Amino acid sequence: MSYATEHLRRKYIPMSETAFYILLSLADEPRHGYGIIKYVERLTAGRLTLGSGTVYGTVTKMTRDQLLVVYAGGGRRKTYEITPAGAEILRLETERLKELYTNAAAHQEGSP
Amino acid sequence: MTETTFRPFWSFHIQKTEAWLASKAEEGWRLTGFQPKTSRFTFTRAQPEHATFAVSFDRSRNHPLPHALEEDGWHVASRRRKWAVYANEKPSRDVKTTIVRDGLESRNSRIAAVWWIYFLFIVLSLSMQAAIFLPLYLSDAPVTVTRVESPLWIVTYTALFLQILVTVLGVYQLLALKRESARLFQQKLPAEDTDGAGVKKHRMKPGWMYAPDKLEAWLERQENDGWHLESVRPGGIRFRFTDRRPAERYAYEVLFEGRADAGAHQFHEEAGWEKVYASGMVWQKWSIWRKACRAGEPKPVMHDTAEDRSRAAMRVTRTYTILFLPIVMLFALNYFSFILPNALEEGSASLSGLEWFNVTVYPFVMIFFFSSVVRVWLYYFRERKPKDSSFT
Repeated sequence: MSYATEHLRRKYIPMSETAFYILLSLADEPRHGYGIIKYVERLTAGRLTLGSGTVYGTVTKMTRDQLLVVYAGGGRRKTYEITPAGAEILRLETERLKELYTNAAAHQEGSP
Repeated sequence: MTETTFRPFWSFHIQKTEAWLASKAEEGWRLTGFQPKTSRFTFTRAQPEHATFAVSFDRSRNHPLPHALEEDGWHVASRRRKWAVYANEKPSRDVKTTIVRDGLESRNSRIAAVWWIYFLFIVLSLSMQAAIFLPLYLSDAPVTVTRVESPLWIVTYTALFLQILVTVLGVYQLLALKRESARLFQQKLPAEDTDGAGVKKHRMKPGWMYAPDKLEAWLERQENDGWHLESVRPGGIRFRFTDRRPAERYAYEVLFEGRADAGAHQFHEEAGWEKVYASGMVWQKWSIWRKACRAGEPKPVMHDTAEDRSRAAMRVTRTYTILFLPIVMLFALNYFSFILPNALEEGSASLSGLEWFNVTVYPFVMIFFFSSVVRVWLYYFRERKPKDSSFT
């Protein structure tokens, strides 16, 4: 069953690095805003420190498009959870990135 | 057995409505439906039970239920178009989660904005009438007012009655929304202006909203020079600094939001930003933020992509262009089509006081608004350029 509409696919794929990492950070468990920023920082070994304005803008857009849902968790902190549509968009983007990587690696191996 | 209760203005008192629904549940009335527009709530007889209620407003009409809320015992008790009532039968102390009210906050600020526009219209309309009639009242010449009898006066009186009614409704709703906002979206306000020890200095900075990046750079320079921003007076023009040496490094960000967004502010605070100023406007919300950082570290930013920065800048540019350009055009049309040709034709010696006022003040007003539009566009083009992550 497909959750992501054609409109969502066209809108989000290919995806920006920020949007990809936000979805990836929520793939396993819900997180609050600062949790997302810290997780991405850890995952990229400090290369990427997302700005709170950028993250807030992206999660708000994704919530509006139903890729994420939001609730108030412990300490009334806004916590974001990925929806089936969000998980599907993440899977499609991951497949696209895998193809990119495979082709790039094959090209590199084949080149003199 | 069912019961339908009429509860006017329930959506302006969400917390009271939620408490009322809880008390109905304890009395053994279970909510089975509601009509938001006609303010009617339908209940059926059930076993008395304890329940926590949360009313949500969702423009998309989806009313999603995150897994975490479902696992915590929440369910949608009733939904109707953009409104939904979520319920949880667990004891209150065991409920760890709740819904987010961004949709409700957005709806409330939109209603408040519509009322402010209405009141602005009333004030403008009264001012125009006063401007027309005041010279008559003030003049020494006798003024005769004749009231022509007509059955159509009923239309005037009905319109007056309706306008008073609408105005009273507007005042009531604005006050209710203000109280509601304080209760639902408790915003942490920046620290009050305190008279702490140390050397102080005050600086005026009017019109910074047309070049917010320059205000950021100016505040960072002040911090670098050992002047720590202590407070910003209401209105956002007067800045108070205190001498703090050795100087600490601070990155400043000036944010513009179309409306108050408590969610965004909470987000920035969690990420370590400190709010030093928030404007009191219902719409066109400005806020000033800062974050301490060590020397040698990259400067912290709220918007880390160029696309994001230029989008944020465009919001400012678009708002002030839409606000000010029509004013410039109206003034220019009036000035160059009527006031100036008339003044040139009459000659300076024969101009009345009012005509002199118009001839001299109009250009200043036009220059002020036009230069503000130019400044916001220059700001936008500056923000589009790639930025260096170091301090200026």
